[in-house]
Amino acid sequence: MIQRSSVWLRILFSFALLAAASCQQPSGSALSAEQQESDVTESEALDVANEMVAAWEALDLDRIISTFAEDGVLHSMMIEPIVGREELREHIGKVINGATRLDLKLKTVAVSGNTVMLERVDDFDVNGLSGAVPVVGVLVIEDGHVTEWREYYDRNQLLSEMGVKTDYYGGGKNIDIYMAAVSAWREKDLDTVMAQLTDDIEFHSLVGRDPHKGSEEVRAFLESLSNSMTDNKLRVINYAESGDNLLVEGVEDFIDAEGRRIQIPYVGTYKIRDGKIARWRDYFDPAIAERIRNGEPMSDSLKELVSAGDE
Amino acid sequence: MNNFGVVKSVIEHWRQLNVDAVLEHVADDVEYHYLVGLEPLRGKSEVRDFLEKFGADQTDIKWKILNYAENGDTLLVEGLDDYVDGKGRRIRTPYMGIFEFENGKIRRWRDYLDPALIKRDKLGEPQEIWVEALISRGSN
Repeated sequence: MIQRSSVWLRILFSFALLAAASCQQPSGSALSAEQQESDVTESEALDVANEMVAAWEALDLDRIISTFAEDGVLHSMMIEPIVGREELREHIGKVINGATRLDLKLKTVAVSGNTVMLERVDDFDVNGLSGAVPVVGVLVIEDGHVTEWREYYDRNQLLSEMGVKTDYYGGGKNIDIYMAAVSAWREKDLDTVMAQLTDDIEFHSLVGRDPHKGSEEVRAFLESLSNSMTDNKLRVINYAESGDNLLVEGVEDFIDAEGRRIQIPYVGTYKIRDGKIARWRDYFDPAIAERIRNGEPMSDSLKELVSAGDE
Repeated sequence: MNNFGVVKSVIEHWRQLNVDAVLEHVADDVEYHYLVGLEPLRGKSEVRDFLEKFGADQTDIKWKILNYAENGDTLLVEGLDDYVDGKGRRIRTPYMGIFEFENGKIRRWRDYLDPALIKRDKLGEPQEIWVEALISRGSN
């Protein structure tokens, strides 16, 4: 892989610099003990940074997490830091989940003692969208693990390239649960969808229609719905939460069994209990889908509404 | 006045059918989807025409918000539209709306609902029990 070989080139280049530096020692003298120790630190730090880069490119969550120290920190400087392996797993898992390709294109690798700086362009396919964002990351390495990773980038640019209009990760907890269900729904992963719902879920797929009650009914409904659609691009445009309540505005976007692209703006309200969704109510006008099925053209204003988040 | 305060004030004035006072809270270049799916109204005068026509023969307006949350200048609400129309029929419709504010005024306003529910009320057909259950939350 090109990116990987560039990592190794950079590292070799760093070693070459170190070697050159050591040549400037007084003639014939051995490296000082201090210098030797520093070289070892720097080479180990580079190994760990390289392992981290490789783990991300492999989209291997276990490998990423085990490269962090137990109390390791990942800090995108514009938002709250993520602290400890448990939190890291939760947050990074979400990013990895939607990603199918990630190349950390290294532009510059610099090492100083136990600190490695990576200037990169992160180039990715996430949720069916491709994007690239320039980033500088500073990794502090101790005992073979990343203890702190500070990331500097334009988060608005990153989120827009990822097709995310609303920044979920800086927000509350309720939206995380809903987004876990949405990501899984797009992937037809019903086990994960159902894991976000309580056993006694009351599910109004459209307020007005008979709600589905309990996991069994809801699963059966979702299964048949899921089987009737492809290229599901359901997305959230706006959300707000208050206490146990989450309110969302989004766009349903999929290809139906007859091959027609159905796009419906919707809103929903969700009640959270013990980390799961217990009440689910979606509101929209079903006539919107009906008109599409009848072959009527969508109005410009409706097109504008459903284009949100569809890069 | 905070954003939810603005919406509460809009509701209070609408209950009195005071369209001027409602429009005080709306930006000049407002975009109002009174039903997402239909063409939105653009600008204050289009909204005024609509509200004056829509409200003309309404009585006993009990529109209320049952659930809301805010995120910056975006406010989402779940509520119950509730009024008696010109032919004396009580219309009660669970709905959701979203308000986007700019400089303390409503700049974008989108309401979402299934119009089939309004039709039932107009035809005098009873709502299904699960709709009644949602309506009854707002009828105390």
